[in-house]
Amino acid sequence: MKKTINLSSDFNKTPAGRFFSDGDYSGEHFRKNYLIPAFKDSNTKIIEVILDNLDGIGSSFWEEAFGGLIRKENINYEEIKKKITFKCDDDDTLIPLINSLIEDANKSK
Amino acid sequence: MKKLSNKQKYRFLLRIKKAEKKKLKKKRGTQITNKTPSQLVKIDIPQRLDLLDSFEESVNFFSQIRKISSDKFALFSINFKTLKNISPAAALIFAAEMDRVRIIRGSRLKVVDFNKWDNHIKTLLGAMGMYDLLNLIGITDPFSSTSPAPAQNGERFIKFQTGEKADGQNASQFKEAINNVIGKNIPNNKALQKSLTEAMTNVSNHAYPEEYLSQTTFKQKRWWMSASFNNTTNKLTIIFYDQGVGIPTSITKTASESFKSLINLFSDGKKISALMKYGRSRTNEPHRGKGLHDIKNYIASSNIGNSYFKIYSERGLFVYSKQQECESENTYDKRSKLKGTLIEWQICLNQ
Repeated sequence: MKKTINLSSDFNKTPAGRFFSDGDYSGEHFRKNYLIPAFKDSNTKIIEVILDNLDGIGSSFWEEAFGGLIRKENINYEEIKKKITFKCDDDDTLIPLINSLIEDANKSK
Repeated sequence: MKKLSNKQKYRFLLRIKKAEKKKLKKKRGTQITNKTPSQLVKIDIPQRLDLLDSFEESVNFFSQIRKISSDKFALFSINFKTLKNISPAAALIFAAEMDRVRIIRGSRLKVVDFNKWDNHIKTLLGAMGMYDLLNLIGITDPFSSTSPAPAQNGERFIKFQTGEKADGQNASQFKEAINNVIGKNIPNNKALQKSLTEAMTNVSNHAYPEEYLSQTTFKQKRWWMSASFNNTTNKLTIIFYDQGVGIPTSITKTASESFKSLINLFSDGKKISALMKYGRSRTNEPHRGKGLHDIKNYIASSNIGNSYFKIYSERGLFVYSKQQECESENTYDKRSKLKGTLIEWQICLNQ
């Protein structure tokens, strides 16, 4: 089964910050309450994250949300690459940025 | 001796407790009433408050207010009558210092002799949002219902804003306010959103470490921001300030052991430059610090000529400027120390 998370409509159009303590729509919030439940659901084989219609989002948010899967949740790199797919039609820099942050987190493990 | 019943024992203990409470209350009351009234500290503002032309005088003046703010009961007065000119960046720092005093005291500050202030300064501070932010007693804000206020000498302002969180919605509304002032959509809109929210995140994560907060009377991880647009030069300036430990102190504390001995040799300006260059890769938090790149990137990634990005922090100043395709980075060191960090982005908009 494929689980689709539309970051803009399911979470927030203007997320910001790294930790829960930084604000209401932080990277940690997104990881803990959206990505992890999808990872834990044994029926979910693919998690598609839609990244359209977002205002500019800083690296701290992306690093904590996706890099945090490796650093904090101990999910291995291969599983992340196998399970998560991204879709973004309005910003061609976003997917490479998130991928590089996941790779950095894996390298510094 | 007659043995006390349980009920009597309970009443007896209650009486002792009540007597002790009364004694303590009396003692506390005495401490306050016997406190020697603080002497009135009079502070004169320099004629010109400006980080560019009068950095030392301005920063020394801000330090005097900071010193006062640490004593909740200190009596002080600031003589505004001498002030003739104030730049937007200096005004933001000044407003933040006064806001800090107001928050620590938990009461509104009072203005006297408002009619004796320089007329230009009165209007300028109102347009910048000083009266809105501080909710002062003794001032009728001519622009309280006008947002943004009319131009002052060709300059229009987005009123001071403040917060404690990395709030994307707040940054988004701030950009909307800028759009209203410049009369069109701000260029490189998403990059500015990233810059602003990363600056806010930096404040929340790095500017006010617990160790620092425990030593000050001000316990908030607060930031302040504002913007101005000059109709004549077409220049848009955005300013963001926090009252935290400052980048040079922060980088020295978190540097990895191998990097610490090197960074300690650097001046404050070079420390900021090192952080901009390496992020936090040479600290104990290598995965953090990419946000600094985002903060600078509003200028670095845009195709806007004649623009710059500055960071003032403690004694250091880092300037990245872009003239058409030509980029340059410079660092400077000041004699006096700015308490906190001020970030300034300036772009020249096309006609």
